[in-house]
Amino acid sequence: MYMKVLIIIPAYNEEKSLPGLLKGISQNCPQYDVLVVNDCSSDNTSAVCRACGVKVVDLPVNLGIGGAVQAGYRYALYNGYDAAVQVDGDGQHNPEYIGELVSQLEKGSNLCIGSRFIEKEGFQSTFSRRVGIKYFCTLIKLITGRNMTDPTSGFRACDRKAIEYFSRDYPRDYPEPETLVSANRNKLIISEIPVIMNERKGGKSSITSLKSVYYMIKVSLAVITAAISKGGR
Amino acid sequence: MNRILQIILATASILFFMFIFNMVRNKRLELKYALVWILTSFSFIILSLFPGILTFISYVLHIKEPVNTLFLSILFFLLIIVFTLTLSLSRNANRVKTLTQELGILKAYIEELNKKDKAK
Repeated sequence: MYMKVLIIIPAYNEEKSLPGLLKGISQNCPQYDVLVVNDCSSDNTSAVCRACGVKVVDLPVNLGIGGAVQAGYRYALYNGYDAAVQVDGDGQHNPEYIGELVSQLEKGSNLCIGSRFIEKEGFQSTFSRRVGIKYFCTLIKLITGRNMTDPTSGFRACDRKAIEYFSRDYPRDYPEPETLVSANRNKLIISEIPVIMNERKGGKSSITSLKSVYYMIKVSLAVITAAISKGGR
Repeated sequence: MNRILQIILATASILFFMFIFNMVRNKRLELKYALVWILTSFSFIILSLFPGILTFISYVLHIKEPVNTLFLSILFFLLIIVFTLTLSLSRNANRVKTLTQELGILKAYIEELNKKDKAK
């Protein structure tokens, strides 16, 4: 049984969606600590979270999603947490699954992903996104030989071993698919559970239509280099 | 190499060398990063003083006009300089990332300590 669990929420201008999310977390798993990593937001994200009584790390410089998440893992490492659960700040991830993600770690996984495509229920993302996700599934299958149904999901739980690894080595932007490959390469045990995701409640996705081509190319390269890199960043 | 080109190249590279040297002297440029520029300007001073080197390289590489060899060597130096810049840029980006994360975490610690202090 994991006693000390930290929920890491990377947030960039999420003042609208965070109060609802934090409320959902305190209803579903009040025993866990919550840390919001405020990635230099220009709105009241920091104040809103403080008002909710959760821990806040304010980054003085905007680092992007990967840098913010890694700050959370470092915090978990320094404060001796047994496990960390990463939840997006935009309200897409349903807090009721946090307990289940953590229980997968207790069963022996180092990293557990919440996948929206196992049961195919809830918000399934747009068509073009699904095509992109399918492409990454195939690429990851080719490289690692493993089926990952939702490689872009940022709803994941990490045990101590994965926390230590991610504190050392975590990509800066668009980290999700890449970290699956690098975690697999570093012998972390990865599992998936079905979750239902919501449509985002506020804020904007970091991936706009203009950036999507860049996203596909960058992430493809990142996935391939993750498969051949020596690790340690 | 054309005599006029040779004079221009020599003057420009000597002036440039003095400029870089002065920057380093005034501590406006780290010697570490100036090294590659000093090396570059020094090589061009040598090339303009002894154009025979260019003619020789042109002969070895089957380049008809020695001035093309000059362009080639300029490109070569530029590529090296740009690459070392990219290298140090990505190293610095990583350092800034780590520092930002640690600073954010430290600020959170201090805040917590202050709160505890006030509660006493």
